[in-house]
Amino acid sequence: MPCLLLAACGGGTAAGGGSSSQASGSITLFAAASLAKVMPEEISSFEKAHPGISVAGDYEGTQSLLTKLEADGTLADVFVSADSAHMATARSRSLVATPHELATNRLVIAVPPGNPGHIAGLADLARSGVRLSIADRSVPAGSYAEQAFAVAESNHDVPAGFARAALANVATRPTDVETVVADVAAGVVDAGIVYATDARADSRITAIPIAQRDQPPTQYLVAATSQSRQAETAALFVTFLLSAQGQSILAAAGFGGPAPTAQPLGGAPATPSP
Amino acid sequence: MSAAAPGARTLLPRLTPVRLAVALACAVAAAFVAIPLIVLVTHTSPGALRAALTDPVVLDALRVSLVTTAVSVAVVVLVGTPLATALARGRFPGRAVLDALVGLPLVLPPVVAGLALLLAFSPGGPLGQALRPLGVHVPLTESAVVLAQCFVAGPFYVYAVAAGLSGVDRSIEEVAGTLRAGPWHVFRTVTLPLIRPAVVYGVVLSGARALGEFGATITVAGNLQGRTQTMPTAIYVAFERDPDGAVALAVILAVVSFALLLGVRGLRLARATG
Repeated sequence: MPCLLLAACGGGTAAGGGSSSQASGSITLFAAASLAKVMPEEISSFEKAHPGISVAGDYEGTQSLLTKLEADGTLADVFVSADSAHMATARSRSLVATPHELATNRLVIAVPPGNPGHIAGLADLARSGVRLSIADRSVPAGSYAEQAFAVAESNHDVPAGFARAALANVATRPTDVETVVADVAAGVVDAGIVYATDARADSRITAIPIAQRDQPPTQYLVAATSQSRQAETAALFVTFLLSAQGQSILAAAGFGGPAPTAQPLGGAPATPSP
Repeated sequence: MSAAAPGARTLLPRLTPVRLAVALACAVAAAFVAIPLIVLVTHTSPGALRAALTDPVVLDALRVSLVTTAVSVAVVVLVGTPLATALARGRFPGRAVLDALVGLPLVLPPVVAGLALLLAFSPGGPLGQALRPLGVHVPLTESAVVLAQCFVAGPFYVYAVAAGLSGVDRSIEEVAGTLRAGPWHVFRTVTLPLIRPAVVYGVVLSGARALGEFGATITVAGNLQGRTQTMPTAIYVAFERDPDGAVALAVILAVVSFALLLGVRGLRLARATG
């Protein structure tokens, strides 16, 4: 019986290798923690379309992944960041090939079941006694949240002094957005700032929207790593993510498509430039 | 130690295969612990250490770590001493179960311990619900740091003291008892001096464990500078932002821990010889 299994396995690999000799083997994907739920779907569709290729996903805060990549550039073949700043750093250190915009997201206020803090909008986050979970400043979701607070204040969507008061209510600054989701779901905080896709993927939490004009320009960028030992396979996976099929999986999970123009600041007139 | 041959102490011991094996084991163990630590120290510079020691984030983390560890050790001694006495001396049903239960945190991964504490003390959890009428909210507070430290460090103290107690010749206590001394008086004047080395050992072990606690702490207490961010948490967060700074922090924690261990050891020697 073990012989049969081995034979079957070996045959499968050989057939996969035969059909496309240049793209085979296994690659590693480093993707931002907020993609942890959607990327396995992308991977299984990709693997179905390319038998013989397997993709292993590692989902952590973008900053952790970049630190790992800086320590050893061969650890991953594809890198997806949750912001442009970390990708720019990776690019400037020659860790990645040309990045492509993969998707966009929106921030929401996540509240636990029953909304014990009676949160109706951003302004309530500054109320005294409210406990918040916001990702650490080093995490894209954390810096986006701080940006949103500042932009909302400058747009006069919240009273003056809001950003300061809201940040004073922060009870914890986790190092990835998944922990923010867990804090909210467990009800140990009254609210957290997460991505719309996180709120959608977790039935325990309720999302309260943040106005479009207060949204920071959240951007996911994807690039093959420069030191990948499987450059062709990595490029194939990047192409798949950007294809209509790859994009439809992201859209189904609630992600926005890449900004209509190549220059993120060129499109929407109302978008405040940071 | 070598009470059998006190005269031979000044002479070089004769080399036997057993002694050679013991010396080899000691050398391997010392190198195993020392080499990574030496590498850590050589990876930092006096400049980086100075910068770290004036960084308010580091000073906050040091303060939080030392204060919470002191409180945790006090709680562990207060609760752990009677518990150890019951485990070493008590003859009651369920003693074996209690003994195993006390040691459970030793084998539980700290993150699991933290998750268990978080769920128990969250507003929906049994302990969280019980504390709610009192207005006490434990998760993501300083109390949660102490809770996590007591949970993981407690067994070290209880087991050390229980082992010390089981080595005490009960007839000495019985003699004291016949001299009409009350049980508390006997414990304080006879038993405690006999088990003092075990108590000191337990305090040092549990204190060191509490000082280095990370997994349970970040899960149940979160990460907020000046409140719940301990040295290990600060090191973890810094590692993602600034790996060199993280190494400097790690060296500081290692030095503080080593000084504490050495200090207590010196205290014991002074007491033994004085």
